[in-house]
Amino acid sequence: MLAAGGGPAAPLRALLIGGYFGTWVDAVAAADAPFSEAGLGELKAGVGAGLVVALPASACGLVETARIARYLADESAGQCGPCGFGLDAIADQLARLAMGAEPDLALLQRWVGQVGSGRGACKHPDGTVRMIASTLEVFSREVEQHVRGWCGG
Amino acid sequence: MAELKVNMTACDARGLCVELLPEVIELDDWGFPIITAPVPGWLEDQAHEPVRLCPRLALLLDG
Repeated sequence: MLAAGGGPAAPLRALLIGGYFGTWVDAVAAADAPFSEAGLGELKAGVGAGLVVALPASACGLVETARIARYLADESAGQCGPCGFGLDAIADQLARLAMGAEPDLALLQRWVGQVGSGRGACKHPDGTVRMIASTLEVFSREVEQHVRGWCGG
Repeated sequence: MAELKVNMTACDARGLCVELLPEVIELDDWGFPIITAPVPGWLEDQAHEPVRLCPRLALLLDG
């Protein structure tokens, strides 16, 4: 599927498959997967909005996710608490993680569990938290680095 | 088994529900209810209370 876009211009670290509500997948794992629900299902991803973001190895997935999370939190319609308060708090905590500014991982995980379980008035918080949960999984190495205060990206 | 449902648009995190039915309701870190389980039969009569008394009429007992 990357070949259809002209192929990667730089070595890749990961792909965000399915747009902003999609799933981060390690670039090596995703390399040969067909772009279909069945093919992506094996990677616990899906076609979603049909978009793929390619993250080069020189960039940091946590910084990128923190930026997306802040955007999505700001896009909340503010109609219900879990979204209005929850996503905002999660985006703040992700920003701390991205900057290595004493993030509280346990708190972040707790909020991800509380907000993204179908409780919102719509699916906006679910999709956002889904993407964030995959971030913490795929970029677990970066998370460890950032907790210790440095960024390899 | 009956299930409690929250209308999150109406809910204003007043917290009365968790006072009345802590068996199946918890609050998240911002005071909004999390329904932790379906309402067991022995609790069904009591489960009508938070539905009736919620100041925002944000609860529904389904089934």
